[in-house]
Amino acid sequence: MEKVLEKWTSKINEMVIGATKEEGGTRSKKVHIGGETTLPFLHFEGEIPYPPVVALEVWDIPPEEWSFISEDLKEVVNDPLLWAKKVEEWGADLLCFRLASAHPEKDDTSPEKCAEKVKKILETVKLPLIILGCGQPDKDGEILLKVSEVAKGENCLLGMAAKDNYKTVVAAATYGGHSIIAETPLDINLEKQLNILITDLGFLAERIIAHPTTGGLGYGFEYCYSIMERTRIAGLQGDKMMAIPIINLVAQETWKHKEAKVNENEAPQWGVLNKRAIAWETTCAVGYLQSGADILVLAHPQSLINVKKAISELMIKT
Amino acid sequence: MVKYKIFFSPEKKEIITDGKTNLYQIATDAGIYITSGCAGEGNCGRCKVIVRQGKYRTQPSRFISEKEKKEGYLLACQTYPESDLEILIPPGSGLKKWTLIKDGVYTAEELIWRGNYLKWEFSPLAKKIYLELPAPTLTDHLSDFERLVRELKSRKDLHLRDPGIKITLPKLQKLAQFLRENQWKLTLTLADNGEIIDYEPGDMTAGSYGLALDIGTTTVALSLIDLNKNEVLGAKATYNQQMSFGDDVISRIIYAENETGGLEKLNRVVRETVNWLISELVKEKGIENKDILALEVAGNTTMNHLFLSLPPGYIRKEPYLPTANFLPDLKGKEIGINIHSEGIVSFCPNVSSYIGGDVTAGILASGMDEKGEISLLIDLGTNGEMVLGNKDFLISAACSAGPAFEGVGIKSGIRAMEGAVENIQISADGKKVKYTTIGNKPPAGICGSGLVDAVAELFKDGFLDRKGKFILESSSLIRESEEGKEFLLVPGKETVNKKDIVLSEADISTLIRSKGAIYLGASVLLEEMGYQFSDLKKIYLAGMFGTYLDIEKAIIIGLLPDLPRTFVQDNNATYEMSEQKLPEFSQTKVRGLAREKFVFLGNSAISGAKLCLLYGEARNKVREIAKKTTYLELSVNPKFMNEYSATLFLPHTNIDLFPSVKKLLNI
Repeated sequence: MEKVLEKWTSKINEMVIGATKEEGGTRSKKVHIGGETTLPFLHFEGEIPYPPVVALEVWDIPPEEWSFISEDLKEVVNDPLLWAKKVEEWGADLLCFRLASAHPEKDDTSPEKCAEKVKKILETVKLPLIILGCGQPDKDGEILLKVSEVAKGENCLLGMAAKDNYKTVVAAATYGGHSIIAETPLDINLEKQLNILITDLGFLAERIIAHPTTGGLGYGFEYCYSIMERTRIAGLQGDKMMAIPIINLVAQETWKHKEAKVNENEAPQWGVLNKRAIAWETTCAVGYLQSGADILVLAHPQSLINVKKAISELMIKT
Repeated sequence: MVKYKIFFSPEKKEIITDGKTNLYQIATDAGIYITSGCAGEGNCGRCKVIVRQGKYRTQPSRFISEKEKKEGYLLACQTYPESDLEILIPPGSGLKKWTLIKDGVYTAEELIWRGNYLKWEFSPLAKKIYLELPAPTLTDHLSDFERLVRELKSRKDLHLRDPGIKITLPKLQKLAQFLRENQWKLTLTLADNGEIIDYEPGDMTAGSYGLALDIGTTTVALSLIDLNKNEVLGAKATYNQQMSFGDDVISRIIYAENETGGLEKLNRVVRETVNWLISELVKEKGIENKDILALEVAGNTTMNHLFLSLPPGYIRKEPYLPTANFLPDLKGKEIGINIHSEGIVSFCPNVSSYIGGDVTAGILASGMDEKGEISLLIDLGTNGEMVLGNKDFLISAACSAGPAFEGVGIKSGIRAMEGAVENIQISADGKKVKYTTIGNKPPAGICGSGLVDAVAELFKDGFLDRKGKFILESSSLIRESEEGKEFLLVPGKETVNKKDIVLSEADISTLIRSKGAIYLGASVLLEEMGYQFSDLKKIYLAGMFGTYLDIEKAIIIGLLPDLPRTFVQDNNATYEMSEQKLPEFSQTKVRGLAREKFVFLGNSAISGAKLCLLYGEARNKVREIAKKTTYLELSVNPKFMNEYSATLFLPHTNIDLFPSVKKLLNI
């Protein structure tokens, strides 16, 4: 029987996160992503030069909204540096440091303080870094300007650049030599528009990774899945503004939901929380692998093990 | 029950009220018109008034700035009196009552006449006929009425739609006496449906007039035509006074449905508008109302409903149905319009709830329904209507474009009238703006086509990014205001009302949403039928806005598709269908009249109505057009929903759809 193979004309941008001594940084390794010339894991059709990578979250304050994580990782969540060390130990590819305390409704931590925190993380662990603000666009712009400075030369991934703050984030990233996450609300057109706006500022498309929003499992997963799939197809078909790697913040969309919070006493029909919650994060992440995720950001170490295993199996060429 | 006296300036009207009614309602009930985009819902912020004296309770509104609050501004629709009040309606909030929109604006309607209308036999909707009946004798003893009919039937120039001659009882009762008193010599006024409108003694055929009426959501236009000479005597246009009850058809419908007496009010106001235009024309031309024998109406479906007091509620409810698409012939007195009391009122038929008689008239005027080539008609008004087709099929769609194209809902927006900024140029350093205005009058504001021009210029020259946001460092004329960033186009010292003319980021977003809806509506319509823009042989642009539009600029912002075009000298425009000599106005004003595929129709609704008024063949055609035209509902179309956000970019998220803009911008 004849094999019908899809021929794509284009390739997803390659990106490196982290700078080792050679590149003038202090990371112990670099992480490569992107470079695909086919849809996820279709090894018979094209190249998938690098497996998708997994990051684990570290917060600068305990993640109270994530009751399960707060409880299960209670030894570390109160100490960001300890937490960071553990993440390195657990085998994450990247560390995703979230400056949650900076939110004006939380501690409203100053950009300078945030920069100090980042500096300490950089000194403590040698993993390549993703650095996220607090989710408030204006504040994130301010934070990232300062953070970029202390992390200069470390080739981090900064987030989030959104429609209201992308100019500042781009300025920050340009200054510190970092890449950025461009975040848009579940709309493929807005996603492309933001990438155009960012590149119009002279920022290289090769330094952008898209976050087209992550829908938690059972909370709009399929919307996001299809947006990612369409993004990837457009990218492979030659749309330069869509030929960019994709990141999914799975932890953020898992641990706030009741399926990852309510225990078996309250909801016996759902089974044991411990098993269920981790399965929830794992399943969501593995789902996104199939729609083109290049970086998955998780929180639980067991999910990391599960997802890494899934990735290694999917990367076997048959 | 409490009673408060509310005194309104500058109207100098005092109204007694009970404290349960808000100021907007009190005013509109009393015939004092305050602008409102939302018909008193509190979400447009346009009905600002100033309380000079008295107590009241009001809802705080985001539309009132701190400065305005201190000056006593509040929203009329959110304010209830708690004592006697003195209210000032500031110039910005008063609806200019009875302002004529300059005749010139509408002369463009003359531009395009349906190519083959000249071949049609002149056969007006109603006409006066002088008859000399043979007096009856013992041998020629036909009864009076049959005698009249026999004489009529012997005439070859009647062209009646309905060959049966009909007469009302009161006229029949007086007929015998009348004929004998006048020696069987009479002038008969006959409608083309066979109804005898009137009879008069002797030859009175000299005064014989008809009206073509376009009832638009924003503008009402009327043309007076000499039915003997087949000649336009004059045209007048004014704002639809219903503007006090919402900008768009939906808010009018809601008002008609939900307010007590709402429908009656809307009906009264539009009748007043039309009657006022009639009185202006009658005065100017020195004719008599009773000599206006016929009125042909081309209005959108909702306007037709409100004009006839038909409840419009079901238009906006699934499955979106009008009371009637084909409206019956009526008489002047039945609908309270000041023409001959028995004069015939006829309507260009509607296709659906959102494709009305204005569109069928437009199709008729364009002649697209007779050609083999595929063309697209776009009517750029508050509602954007589109028709695709040729002699074999016609399919239409409508989308809400909002009133931005008419200069409404824009910070410094005005209609396309004298003093409207229509063209701007910005110096390379972004420090100076050169502008021109309609009629070269001192600037008063920016009109819809000026808005398109300004956005295109700012974008092209790098002052705006592709999302339509200002690039701050690019120009010193970009500044922060309470409502966000804005670009100073004309400083207050040069303007009529001494206020700065600005273009705000919000205005640009509004325009981008409007242009996106139109472009996408047209793309979806084409795609549904398996066509692409490149298949189109012509794009007809209808509406007043279209007349002033600069095609290049419209393409730069992504309103119109990027089709091949070359500029043809304005003065010698050689479009095949403009057989008539171009009016002087058009020669100087209409820019790029013929750019290969793009054709300006002017006010095609009134052009079509005029054809119907004058030619029986047109009246048949317009009915055929309405029957033949199908309707595509965009609001449930998945492509329309999915791709809307792609159009909210300059010119479009996919720049490859606009190759000439891509080249221009060097992307």
